[in-house]
Amino acid sequence: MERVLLVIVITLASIGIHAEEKVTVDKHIVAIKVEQQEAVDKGDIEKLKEVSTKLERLSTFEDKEWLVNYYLALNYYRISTISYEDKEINEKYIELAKEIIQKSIKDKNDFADSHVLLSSILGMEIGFKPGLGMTNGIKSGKEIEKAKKLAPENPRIYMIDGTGKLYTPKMFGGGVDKAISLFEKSAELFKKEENRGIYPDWGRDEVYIWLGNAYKEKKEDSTAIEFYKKALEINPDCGWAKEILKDMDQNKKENSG
Amino acid sequence: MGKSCLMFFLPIMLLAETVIEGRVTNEKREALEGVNVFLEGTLDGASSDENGNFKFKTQETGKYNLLIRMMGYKESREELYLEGKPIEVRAILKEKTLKSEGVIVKASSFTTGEENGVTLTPLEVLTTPGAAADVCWAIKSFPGVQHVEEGAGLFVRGGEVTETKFLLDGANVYHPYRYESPTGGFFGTFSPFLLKGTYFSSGGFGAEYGNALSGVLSMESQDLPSERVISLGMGLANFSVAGAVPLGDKLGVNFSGNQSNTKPLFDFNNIEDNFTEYPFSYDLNLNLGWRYSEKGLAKLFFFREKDNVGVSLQDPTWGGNYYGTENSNLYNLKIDHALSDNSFLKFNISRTDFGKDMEITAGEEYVLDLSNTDEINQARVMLEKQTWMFLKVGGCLEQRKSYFEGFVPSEEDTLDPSVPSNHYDREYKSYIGSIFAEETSFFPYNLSLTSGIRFDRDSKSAKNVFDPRFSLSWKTTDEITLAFATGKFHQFYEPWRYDPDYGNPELDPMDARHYIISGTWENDGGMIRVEGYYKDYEKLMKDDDSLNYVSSGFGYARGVDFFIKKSFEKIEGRIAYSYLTSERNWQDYAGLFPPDFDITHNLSAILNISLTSSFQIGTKYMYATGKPFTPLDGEFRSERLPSYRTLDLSVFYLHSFFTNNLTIFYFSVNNVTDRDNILGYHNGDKNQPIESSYGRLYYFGVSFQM
Repeated sequence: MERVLLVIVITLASIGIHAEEKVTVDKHIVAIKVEQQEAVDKGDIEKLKEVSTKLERLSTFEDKEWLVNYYLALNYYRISTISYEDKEINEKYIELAKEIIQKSIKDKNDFADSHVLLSSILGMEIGFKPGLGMTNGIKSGKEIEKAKKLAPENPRIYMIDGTGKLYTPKMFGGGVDKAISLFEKSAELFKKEENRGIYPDWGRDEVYIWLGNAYKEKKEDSTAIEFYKKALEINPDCGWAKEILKDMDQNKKENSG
Repeated sequence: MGKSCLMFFLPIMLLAETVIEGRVTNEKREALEGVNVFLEGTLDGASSDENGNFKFKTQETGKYNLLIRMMGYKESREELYLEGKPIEVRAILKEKTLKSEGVIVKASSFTTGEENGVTLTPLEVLTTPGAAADVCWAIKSFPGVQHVEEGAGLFVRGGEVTETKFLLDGANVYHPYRYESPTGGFFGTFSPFLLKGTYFSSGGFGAEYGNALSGVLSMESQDLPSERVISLGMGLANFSVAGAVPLGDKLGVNFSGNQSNTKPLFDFNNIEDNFTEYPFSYDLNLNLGWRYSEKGLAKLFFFREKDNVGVSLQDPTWGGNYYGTENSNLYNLKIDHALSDNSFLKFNISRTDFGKDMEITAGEEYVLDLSNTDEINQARVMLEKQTWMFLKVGGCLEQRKSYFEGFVPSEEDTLDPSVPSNHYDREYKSYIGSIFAEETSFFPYNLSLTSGIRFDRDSKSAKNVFDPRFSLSWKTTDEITLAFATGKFHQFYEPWRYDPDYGNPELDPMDARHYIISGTWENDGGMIRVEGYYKDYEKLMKDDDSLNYVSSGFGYARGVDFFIKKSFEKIEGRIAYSYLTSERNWQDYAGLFPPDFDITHNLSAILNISLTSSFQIGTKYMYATGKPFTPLDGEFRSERLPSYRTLDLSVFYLHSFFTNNLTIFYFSVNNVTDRDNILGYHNGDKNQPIESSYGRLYYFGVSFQM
């Protein structure tokens, strides 16, 4: 009897493990999403590298590989932006991010967030390969257009579009004011965006940092500070906003002292 | 109850927990840190530590794949059977040999199995100032190529223009220039827009390239397009249409048509010329790609080109006209097939035909009237395998048929109507069969050695040649690589040179030995390369009164090439400087003398500035020592022409009129200072200079993409 039970238990256990696997991809994604956001808040590169390792493993589950790859690309993109001072790492990770997001788009090309991420990556590439400015600028714009067609209410579209415009001179279709109106539109849409579960919903705090950056560019520091504070209000752990506010505070002291 | 529960689960847990540990290294047996080692389809795994060691436990049982992954390396996969017993794994990861797009210069990258050379993308060709969007012109701004004549001819490190071999998708291209001349031709046959990339080597190249004494230019055509792009281009002298159309996931087509008519260019610039027919050319291209499975891509490439030009020859002693027309067709089927994760098969079969008609008339009289056709059929196969070493093995069979009909003056280089002529009506057929093998091994201390051997047999001369080639590379630090390369190189003559009446059937293949030493320093955004070389030429062709030609010519070339490239935020600059001494005792020379391509100093400096992301300015300065010539009543080749210098400028502006549109406006000025460059003297008389017709030259156009 005991042996029969044992067999049953083993069988059930193994079925349980297999049944669990199907749900676990979603569960893991949700957990990793949180982990990723925490690492970004802290600017913790080592933590982000751990997240990459996990996502790489998750991509072999034969389920939602495209979405796992989206997060992997986003993760590489975050590593790249956080280590902006080290040009070599910056470039290496943006190239990796590009490779992975292109793979994700190949598997599923109607996911707006993937196109938004690719657009931003193409824009960043220009930073270290100015020769690409000619073609990448256009390609980046095309990706934004694709995303708009797929999900016109996605707030990240307008945020990334705005970051591009912020650093493009007015005569070439950019400019601070254009950027601000895009960030404002994005912020409005973020208010409507709920927690999207396994799907990406980052940027709710970042959009206010970008608004702050835009006003800083206009030399309207007090408005900028308002927005940085707003970002912190939404995400009290947002390391980027804290850092900027600290720097601004220090500068102010130095100037007055 | 508690006890029996434990009883139930204990066996499962004992069964389930397997410890997996081991070590990961690269091919040089160096530890790899941060490698992701895990079971496929699970999160169970570990990252390797600084000694390459890893260890983890898993509850899984049964058959699992252990995946070992790291960026820049090929993934390794090992099947494990998990049953509770500890497992030890030793893994070696191989480096990926990725060809990254947009890399301008490949360092002496013998370690990745690629030869030392330059790779250029189409956009880089387009934005090289003064390069007229021509591949060969752009290559001329790199070190190791001497400026000998205005035009596209690639004279490499003291070698003659025919000593540089051209390939397209593995197919040999014997007529790579448009408006052919003894110094190559005015433009390259293939437009950069047909190409995905270009690889150029100025010496010491691998065993896969044969029948070339000095240099190799290997071009690769476009792959399957990923999105639909149609473009139109219009400039002062050209009109073009091109398109890339994906047909589903697996099929795609690239096509293009170009027409070039230079009359408006000369008219607009008010250039006095002596054309009786302005240079006119067109080309058509169709490139069909089929990804027949995950493992392979088949490409069918068709290309057709036609050009003609008429010039009035202004020899002071007699007046005449030249008229020439050329057409060439290339058909190539290329298959790239992955046999496994680490082996690759490349196969191509091609047919090229080329026809040329030349006429020289003096008044009503024909001085020269010759038509030449060339037909080449070729099959080539190459296997690449990467294990603990990198291996390339392959072979090629080529059939070449040449046909000549007409007459030419009996004394070469003399186009005087009073000289008697030779009549030709001959067909020549020859076969060249080749096999080659090359391997690269990696050793400790970042050393790698490539050794290759090549065998060729030419049916016309019934001669066999063996070419051993070696290169050694040592990466001393992350930024510095030292390399040494040497080898033997052979080249057969064109079939007609073996004709018993006009040539000599006993001619030996030309022979060269290269000795190259190079140092490269490369870091973020910058690169410096210095290469010194010595080349020994033997069995060159020498004129002979009774046998027409004999193989007793010889010569040497030695020199140093410098290359500096640096990019700052929005500025990219590069400087190529070559110092060369080349001497030959060949043709009708009475001893060792400098040939036309002995250009002592050759400098090319380029500066590209991206003012904004859509506005780019580029400028190029070029300096080349003048060619040697024999002055009137002076010693043989004892003087030099004045140096050749130009300053070129180009401006690009990009605009997007609507979504998905890219419009490029360009404007260029060649020879900004309007310098009168001297190309030669009639009969060596300094009072009769032959001046270049290219004074200051304006060019503009627009390219529209959607």
